Amino acid sequence: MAALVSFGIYLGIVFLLAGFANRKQNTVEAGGFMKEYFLGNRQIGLWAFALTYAATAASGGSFMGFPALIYTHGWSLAWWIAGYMVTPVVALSLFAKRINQVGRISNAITVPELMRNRFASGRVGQIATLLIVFFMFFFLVAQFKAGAKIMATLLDGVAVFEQSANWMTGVVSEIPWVNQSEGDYLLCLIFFAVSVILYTTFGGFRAVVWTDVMQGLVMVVGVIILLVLTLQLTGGLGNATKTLAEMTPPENGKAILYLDNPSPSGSTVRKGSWVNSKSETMRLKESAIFQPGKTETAEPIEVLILTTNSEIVSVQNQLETNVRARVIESTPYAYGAGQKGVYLTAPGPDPKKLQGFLPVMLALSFFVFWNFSGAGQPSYMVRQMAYKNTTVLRRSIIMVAVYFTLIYFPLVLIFTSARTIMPGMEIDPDRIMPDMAATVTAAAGVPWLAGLLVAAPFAAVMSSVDSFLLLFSSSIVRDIYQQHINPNASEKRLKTMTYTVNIVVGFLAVIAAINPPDFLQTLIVFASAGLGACFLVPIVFSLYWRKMTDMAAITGMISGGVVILVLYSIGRVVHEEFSEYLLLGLHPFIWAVVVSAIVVITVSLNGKEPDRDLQRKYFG
Amino acid sequence: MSVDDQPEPRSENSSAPTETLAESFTQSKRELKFILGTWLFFFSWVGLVSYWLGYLPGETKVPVLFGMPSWVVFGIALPWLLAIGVAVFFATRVMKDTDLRGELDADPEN
Repeated sequence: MAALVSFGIYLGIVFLLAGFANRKQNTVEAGGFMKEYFLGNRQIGLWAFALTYAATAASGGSFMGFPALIYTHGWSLAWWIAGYMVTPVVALSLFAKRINQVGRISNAITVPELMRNRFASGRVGQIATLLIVFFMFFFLVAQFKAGAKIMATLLDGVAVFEQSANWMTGVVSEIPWVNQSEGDYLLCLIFFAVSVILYTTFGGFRAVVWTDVMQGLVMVVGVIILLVLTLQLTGGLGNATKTLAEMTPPENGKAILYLDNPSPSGSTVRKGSWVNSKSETMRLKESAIFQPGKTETAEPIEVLILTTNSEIVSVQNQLETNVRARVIESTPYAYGAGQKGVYLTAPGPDPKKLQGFLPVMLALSFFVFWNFSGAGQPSYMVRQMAYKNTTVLRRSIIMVAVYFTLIYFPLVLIFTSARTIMPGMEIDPDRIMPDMAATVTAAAGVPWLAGLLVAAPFAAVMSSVDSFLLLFSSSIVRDIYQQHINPNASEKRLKTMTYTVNIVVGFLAVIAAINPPDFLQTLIVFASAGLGACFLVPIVFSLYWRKMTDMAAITGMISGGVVILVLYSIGRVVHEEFSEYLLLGLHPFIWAVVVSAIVVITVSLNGKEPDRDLQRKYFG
Repeated sequence: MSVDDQPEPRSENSSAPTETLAESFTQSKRELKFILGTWLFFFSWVGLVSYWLGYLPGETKVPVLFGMPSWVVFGIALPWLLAIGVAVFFATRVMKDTDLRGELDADPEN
């Protein structure tokens, strides 16, 4: 219930901020709507700039996927995330000053417009727009799904919500295709999408930035409180690490369950229940159904078998007393099985990969990825075009450095400790954040605080989705409609068009997210890598190299995108699922950047030198 | 003429010196070198130390310091703290305030 109340308060504040932002739009001088709506009139100050940047970077993955990975693979995640230590100096500063300067000189509001004006080439802008629309749609769908999943996870167990979810399931049961989704997911998807689309459409860039500030503060306060309560519960980090050092990875298996006293009407043992066999203690990965009068399950049930003595002891008081199990199949982890200390070192345990979770080349790849893929995201570039002056930028670098330190490193401390408090969370690792929040606040006697803590992941995904939605609509309204379809559109017409596009794009993303593919995290990384691969090198060179040609910009963008598509296609064939192909152990993004850089340099050196006036305009 | 077509206002940098666009571009390139050097330094530190002290397949006894595996202290936490210092140094000493409109203010026709 605390989660529901916190959502209510949280959403109320979000809409209040959108209302203020909307009033601000009405005060701008005639003809200034587009710049105000999509760029906050280039007047974004210190707190707003620093926190909108940080909040957009910290997406839902930071609070759901990342904690799940830490819990499953241990301290090796400290190395995995380490690239964030230099993100403020690298990703934020790489071209923040130049892109803002060139944006002002060229009067650009969007990234494609900036590229078109920089090269005085309509084709450059068109290609940039197409690539943003293509990759950004994957992003939107994935984030909408993430938002709905997070909300459904957090509200799980709230009576009002479960009743509404059942009602929704009944409503859609006769609608083909839609009825393949669960009622709780659909309900959350609609609620989440309507909220984000409304406040983003209503308030524009300024509303997105202001809500990002609030969401950014919710995230950092949530993490700090969670850290303090976790360390209190474990008796300190040293104790948690000492316990973790003795732990060995669980095994995945299948078991037949037996009931001591069968029910004549049948019965169900819920997913997450703990049961014992003669020699093992295990947790059910799925609910076990006993038919009327039957004493055993018709099919084997998937289970997670504990192998660490302290964990087995800690769950003995939670065992189902009426149920026994017989393990018929068990699969140890591919790396780390039976090995103490494996959670404290790299590469970390892994159920499937023989070389462990984080081989060296992959660890090095992520140090590149977090910084340079981050720099290449158009959603960050737009923010870098919007800050007021360089004093804001300089102070923001310091603020973001402190902010990321307070978010990412404490998350590693919290969720490595979580392993020692909550065994068996591998059955549903995405639940670790809300479950930890509930556990530590209850133990500290402050259960109402769980509401604030669970708002953090929700804030994270919301602050990313609103930015992507606005970027998408700006590409369509500014770069397609205003540039190519109706250059003389009136202010009123542009405003109507902008609102309409926001709603239509949001609606299409919801439709696509009703039945999205399962590989959510892969989809997010694919879209992120695709955008970074298309834009990083062309943007950096266009801002720092006066000899770069328009043809180099076009081929650089396309080649980066093509490398990503090719390596993911190979991955699809090799792994038989949508996945990246790690050529020589390196992430596709790195290959894409290398190829894009070679193409940009080669094409520029072999092309006609750019117009001298254009060079003077942007480089002096 | 709409507002979108008019030249941008001068950015509000009270401390920004009067400089030409060429001078500001040169300064930006100087900062770029520092940024790439910083990334390379921390990439090397984290990669080498974490590999040397933390990449321990099969190791059951892992040294612990300040409640963390010692490789995390030397390979991640220590450079992370230093990186905050570098960010402060970069923002206050290396990056200079710039008039984001450069010399174009003097030439509103641009």
